[in-house]
Amino acid sequence: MALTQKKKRKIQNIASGYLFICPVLLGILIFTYYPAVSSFIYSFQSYDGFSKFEWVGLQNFVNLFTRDMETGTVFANTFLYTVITVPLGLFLGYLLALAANMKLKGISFFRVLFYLPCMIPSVASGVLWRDLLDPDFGIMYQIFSFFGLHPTFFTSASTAMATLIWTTTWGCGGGMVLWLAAFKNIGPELYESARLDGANTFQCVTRITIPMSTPIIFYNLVTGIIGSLQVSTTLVMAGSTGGRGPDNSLYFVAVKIYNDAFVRMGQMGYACAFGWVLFVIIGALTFVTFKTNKWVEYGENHG
Amino acid sequence: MKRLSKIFCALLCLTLALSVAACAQPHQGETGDDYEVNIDLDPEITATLRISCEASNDEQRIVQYLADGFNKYYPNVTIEIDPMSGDLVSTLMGYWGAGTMPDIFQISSFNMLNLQDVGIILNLDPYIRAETEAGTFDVSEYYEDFWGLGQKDFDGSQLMIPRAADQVVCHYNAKIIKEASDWCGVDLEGTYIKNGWTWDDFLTVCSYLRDFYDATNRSNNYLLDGFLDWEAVFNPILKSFGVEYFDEEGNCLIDSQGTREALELIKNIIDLRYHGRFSGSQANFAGGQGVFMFHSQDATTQIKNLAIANYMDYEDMDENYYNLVTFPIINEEDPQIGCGVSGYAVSSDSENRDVAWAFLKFMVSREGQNCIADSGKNYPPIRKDMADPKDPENHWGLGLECYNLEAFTWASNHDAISPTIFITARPQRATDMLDAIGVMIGNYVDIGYTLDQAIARGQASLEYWMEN
Repeated sequence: MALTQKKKRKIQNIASGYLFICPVLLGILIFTYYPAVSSFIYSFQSYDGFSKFEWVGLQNFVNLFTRDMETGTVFANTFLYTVITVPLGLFLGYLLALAANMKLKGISFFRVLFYLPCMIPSVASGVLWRDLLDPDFGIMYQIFSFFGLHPTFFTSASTAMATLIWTTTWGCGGGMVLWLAAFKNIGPELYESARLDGANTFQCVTRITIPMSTPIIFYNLVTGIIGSLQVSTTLVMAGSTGGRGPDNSLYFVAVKIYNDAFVRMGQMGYACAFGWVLFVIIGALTFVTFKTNKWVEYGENHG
Repeated sequence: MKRLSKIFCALLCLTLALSVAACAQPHQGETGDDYEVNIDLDPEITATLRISCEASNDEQRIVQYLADGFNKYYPNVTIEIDPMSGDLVSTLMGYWGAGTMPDIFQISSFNMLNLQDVGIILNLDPYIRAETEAGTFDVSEYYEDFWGLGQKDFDGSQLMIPRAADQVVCHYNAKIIKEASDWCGVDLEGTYIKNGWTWDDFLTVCSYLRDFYDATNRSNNYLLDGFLDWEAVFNPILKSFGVEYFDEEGNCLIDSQGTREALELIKNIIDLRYHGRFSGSQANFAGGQGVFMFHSQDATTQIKNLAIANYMDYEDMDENYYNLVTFPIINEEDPQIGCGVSGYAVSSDSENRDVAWAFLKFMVSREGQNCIADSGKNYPPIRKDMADPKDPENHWGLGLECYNLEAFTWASNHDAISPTIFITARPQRATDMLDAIGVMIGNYVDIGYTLDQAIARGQASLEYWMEN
């Protein structure tokens, strides 16, 4: 039975639609879901990454919480890093955005300048920071030495974390761009009304700019939490200690997962289990963040 | 939308099924030691041999020169070089998982130990047995210490064929030594620096050099790139003080007087500003600023580096600018010099294992060892009969006659080779155990722990990694 013209067109529309989404769909399935499902299965196995598969049930998870002496260290370091860098990044990004939002001559140049670090790959910036902070040849050390200071940067357990947190401020221009976009979406009539009512600049910022940009604060908060819990740049910055830093001071969860998977033999299944625990923690924190987002101002629709 | 959801669910189920299937069907290779071998290859055999090596130009050139030499005997064997960049273990995992393992892959003795139980390396004992029975191969022609570094637990089945007898030597900047000698009026090179020199000799020379550096506006420069955090350096230091890491029952013995003395020795050269921090290479020997470097790297690389540092052509370099000497002996009654070799292993799933073996056998022949030297790397040969670098038949010394290349074979000939054996106590945790020792030393030397604190933590780590 011959198809009617209408049906043919409908099938063509559907087929072309599927064809268009096919690359993305296949990409997600092959490069995201397949490894994710595989790693979930491996997390219940004693798997060495090569040929040894042995079902061990929940043993990997039990070992993670009861036997692994590194678990506490990596979680403590990771949470400490997150607790400090996320608010710090939000605050500094916000300040940068406020500065970059000013109507000044040549401000575009500064916006580019602020955002430039985000365009440098993290590995490259890791190498850069490592060299800048080298306690023998690094220019930062030379500058500090000029003032009679001899900081230890990444070479001492007591200063390594602070140094790493300092280097993360380098990327706060990334959040700035989003905030700038949020600022541009705030209607000028709000500021005009406020001015007519006698509001000063500080009041405009605290009563209009900040409340109206809370969706971006929320977005940056969620992505910041996720990103900082997955931090692994110390693999580059503290490469000589296997990414762990002096006395394990920079040993983060993601670094441990890498070490367990690819450095310690026979631990791929355990690394997968660790990865899933991190996933659950990130999911839980994200869930909590979403559940407590009453402070987010979604504009007129949700006001 | 409903249809899309159904398709998506179906694809997701398919993914799940594929994942489960993939997880349930591990790829297996030949892991036994009684498989059939053919050591009488037809010279006209046609095959393609895929060899993976580190991605550097030097490593690829070595394989290319070996391939050219091998092709003289087996002209129809095509050799494809597949450079591996990044981490070896993860790269091999990718190859293995995808079923695309190379026939031969480059591997260090340390990585071999790490990978010895995962089933990807072919046990070469059947070939060695067959060749030995046929009288076409004799393992006694090779330095036993180095040959053993290619064996499971360093004394079991042959899993890797070492390509050289790399041992740690002391490279030095002869130009600076001569300048310092003129400055202090003591012939440092002639008086102290000779093969078999002692740690006291080394400290004496360093003392003069430190004064020289301080007097010539180089007080911020260090003298030595010691690579002290490398096991081939710190292990001989510890062993020189009689340190044993474990007893036969696996009990940790690191808390000893020997360990304390070894840590003091390391801290001493840092406190005296001969060496920078425990980890790293702050003297910049390669850039012509440091005087000494403890390493097993070949002399040619150092000559090239120092030629650049001195704005000279490689051909114009001689013993007045660079030379090398043995690693300073700490305990003359029990000399210890570190080592660690690179070599090649055959994949356990290789379909060309007979050809692969023939290639490795060629590599350790006199001709194969000369091929490596001809590629530009003057590694000390693993063959005992090629030890003399001044013999023109041994290409590893060609063009380098003015240098003290005998430093590279001194330890082999004086029973001073000190492999890092203790990690065989738990090969799967070799990295962690080495880290534990490195962290223990760093905690004392760099971070400021007391000796007791550093050793106690080191012991706790070693004990943990023995059990976990």
